[in-house]
Amino acid sequence: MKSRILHSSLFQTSEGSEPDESVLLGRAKRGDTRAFEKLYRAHVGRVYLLCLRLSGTVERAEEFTQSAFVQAWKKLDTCRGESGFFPWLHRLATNVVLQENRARQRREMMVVTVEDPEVFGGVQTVGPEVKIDLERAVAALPEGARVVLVLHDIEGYTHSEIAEMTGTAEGTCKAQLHRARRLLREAIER
Amino acid sequence: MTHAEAKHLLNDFSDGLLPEGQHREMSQHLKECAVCREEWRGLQNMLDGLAALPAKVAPEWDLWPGIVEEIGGLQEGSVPVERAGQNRVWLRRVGLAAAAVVLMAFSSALTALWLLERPQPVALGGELQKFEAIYALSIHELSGVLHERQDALLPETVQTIQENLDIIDTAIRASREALIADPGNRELIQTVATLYEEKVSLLQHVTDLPNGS
Repeated sequence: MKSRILHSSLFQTSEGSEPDESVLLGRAKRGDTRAFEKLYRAHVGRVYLLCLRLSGTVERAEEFTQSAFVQAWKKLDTCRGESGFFPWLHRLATNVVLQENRARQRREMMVVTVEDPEVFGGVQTVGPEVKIDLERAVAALPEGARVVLVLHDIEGYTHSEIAEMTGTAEGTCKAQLHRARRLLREAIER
Repeated sequence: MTHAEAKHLLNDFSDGLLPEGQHREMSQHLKECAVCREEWRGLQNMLDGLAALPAKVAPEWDLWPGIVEEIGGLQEGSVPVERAGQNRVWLRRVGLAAAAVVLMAFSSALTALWLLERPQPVALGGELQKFEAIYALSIHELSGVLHERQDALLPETVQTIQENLDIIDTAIRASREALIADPGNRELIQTVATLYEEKVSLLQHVTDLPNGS
């Protein structure tokens, strides 16, 4: 049976962590799993939240996060490190979710909404009601619109990058974004 | 600039995607028009709210044990098939493989429908096939949006849109048929590409139309 350890204080940020990330990356590339674990601890929070927003469910977000780090380990040699480990990991995790989303869309032909938007509640520090409402509204968007909105308005990707990642035309991305914003505004103004 | 034009450009204006002249025109309109200014402020507030959302959240459970189990196996060069029932990642891979089969079947069905709709048995160039695949997906998605919004638009608007789509489709069919006779003609390929872009652009415009248009 898969062991599940309750996560409490294990999550750390990369700020102030030693040794330097490029050193950790170099050690991980040489097969050092402890160095890779430090990279995981530094970035799992951002990767998990990305997966959660893109996939819409906790269960899938966990699977995608796990899968993203396993793939990252396999492909570490392709991480050049000029722009850092995280941007590379972020892109990889995004692709993991999008590939599976595409496959599932065709498999199930259904719209997925988040199973429990309260999962976002534990991280708020300022204006919790407003942020939870916004997260809830984002989570309730149709999948295609949600993915583009998360990637563009939250993660900062350009239309051209999103088009490449999602395998669609830039015009589609823009249309999905405008639609997502319209639906989101309608939802939060209700 | 009219309200409708301003509304249509609002998102691109907020994203800084408008050409300089249009950007200036839009700024001027927002100074003069309280309705559009209010609309723009609402959009800006929402975008500010999205930008202020948290950047990270810890998963409820530590995922590392599952990862280290996986990469430990990779280090030893062994394929942990015996642990399929114990590790969700491997279960997911089985799912992905199954999905790939379904996807291939679905893609083949789509391709078949595509070809039925535009009967021409020639092997088109790889470049054309590639962008046709992209536009097919985009058009499929945007047509879904159009279908979804159909009731929110005036019947005459829907009819005009459909007529325009028919005109573009007719032009696409004619251009593709011309490509049968002259498969390497770059201009024809470009024409088809432009027509697809126009179709996507038209559908995109429809998704931006306000309710009741």
